[in-house]
Amino acid sequence: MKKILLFSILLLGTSKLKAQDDLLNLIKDDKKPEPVTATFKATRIISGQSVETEPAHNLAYRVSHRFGAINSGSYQAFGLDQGYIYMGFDYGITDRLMVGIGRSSEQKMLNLFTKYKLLRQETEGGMPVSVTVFGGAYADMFKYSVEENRTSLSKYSYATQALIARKFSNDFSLQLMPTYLHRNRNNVNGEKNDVFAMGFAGRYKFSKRIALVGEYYYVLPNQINLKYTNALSFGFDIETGGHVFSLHFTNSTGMVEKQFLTETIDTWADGGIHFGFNLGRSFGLGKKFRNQYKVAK
Amino acid sequence: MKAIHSIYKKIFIILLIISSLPVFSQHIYISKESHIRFFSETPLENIIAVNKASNAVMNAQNNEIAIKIDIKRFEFPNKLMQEHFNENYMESDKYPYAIFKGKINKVIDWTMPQNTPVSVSGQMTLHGVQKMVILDGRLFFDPQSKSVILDANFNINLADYHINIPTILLTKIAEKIEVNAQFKLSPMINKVTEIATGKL
Repeated sequence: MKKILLFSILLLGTSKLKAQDDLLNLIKDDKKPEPVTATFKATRIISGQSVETEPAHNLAYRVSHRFGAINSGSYQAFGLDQGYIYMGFDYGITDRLMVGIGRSSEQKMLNLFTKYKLLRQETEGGMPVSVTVFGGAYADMFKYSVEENRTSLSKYSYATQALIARKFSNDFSLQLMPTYLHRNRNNVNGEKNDVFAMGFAGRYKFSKRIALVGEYYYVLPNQINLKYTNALSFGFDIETGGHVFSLHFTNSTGMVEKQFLTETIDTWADGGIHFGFNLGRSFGLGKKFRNQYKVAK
Repeated sequence: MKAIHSIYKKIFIILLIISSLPVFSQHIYISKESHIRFFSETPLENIIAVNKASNAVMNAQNNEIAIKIDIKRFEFPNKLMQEHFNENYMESDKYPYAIFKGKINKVIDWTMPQNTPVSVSGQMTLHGVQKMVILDGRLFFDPQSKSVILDANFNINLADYHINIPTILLTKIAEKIEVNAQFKLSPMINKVTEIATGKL
């Protein structure tokens, strides 16, 4: 009987304890896997694409700049006297599908592209990676001399990529980019028209708004002339509201796939490094944004 | 004699176990519908977000209320803002829920229809910061359908919860956020069996 009494006291004790917190415990946690957001801060990592797409009805204006090589010396202000520019507009048709148009000063290149989020990484228990597919077309608008004998068809190139990324933690993301590029005309004899490459990229966020990013594209051997090198870039993404500033160092001046994959000449080893930046400003277009922006009357 | 004694013993133990189970009857109300909206207004930009996936529980015996809000379920018209809200301001990976535990500061006659202003004082946990608050709102009760509606309007001062806005964005994000929360609650009767069978 003594045992029972002790047992009953113990039981009553536990029920008392429960009563204090029980209201909150009544709320069921229906934790379903949710899509992971912000694997990367922008739709570009540095020169190449990230898994991110522009959200639905968002228009982004992009300006990217690459200065001359740092090893060009003080006469060229270590590269700051020269510049290559890319300007473009990106637009999100849905939250998964975006299109873009851009113009590069190098080769007077016009490019069109589209990206589609095929799979979205989800929190625990869901999809482990994000997969975005990319397709781009490039038109070289440069007026070549007659001797070069360029047909208009020869000025086009096309690229496709699978962008596979995983956000491992709040701060750390990695991305793989198997890439296929077709050039209607390559730059020199002996080069292949079809070029395969593998890209690697990562991001480490060391504060709420600043992240270190890196990007490297490895072009498989025996496809392009040995004078060309692989593009390697490092930079910082700085985010403030609707803007993302990306400041970086890279050995490539090209800002579209066709150029940075197969036409990168400079190398990090001999100081052929270019300082550059990307700026993006995103605007919401359409009905649902109407109440957000106030225009002075 | 000994056999009878052991039967009594068993009955006694069973009764004890039953009595120690948290038994909820009609005095526990749980939300079926919720609607939380916040509003930030500055001369430059208005920001509105809505959360329809939060939960509230009320104990009509002691007038206690508990609310749990999943921060990630706030929907913004602008997805980029939603991303910044979660990543930069609320840090919802670290602090996934906002929680309020409080008590209605009023004696309410739960046999009569009610449409009365009430204040609820309690503890708000937001962005990992706990604060004692008093929220003003209105309580509606219909004894026939046993439905309770809670409607509260209050302001959240971001600095109180260590939510920092960079100076250059102060023109776009208000330092004081207006919040409107509405819950429709009904008795949790059907849950009692689940509790008894240990499913909950």
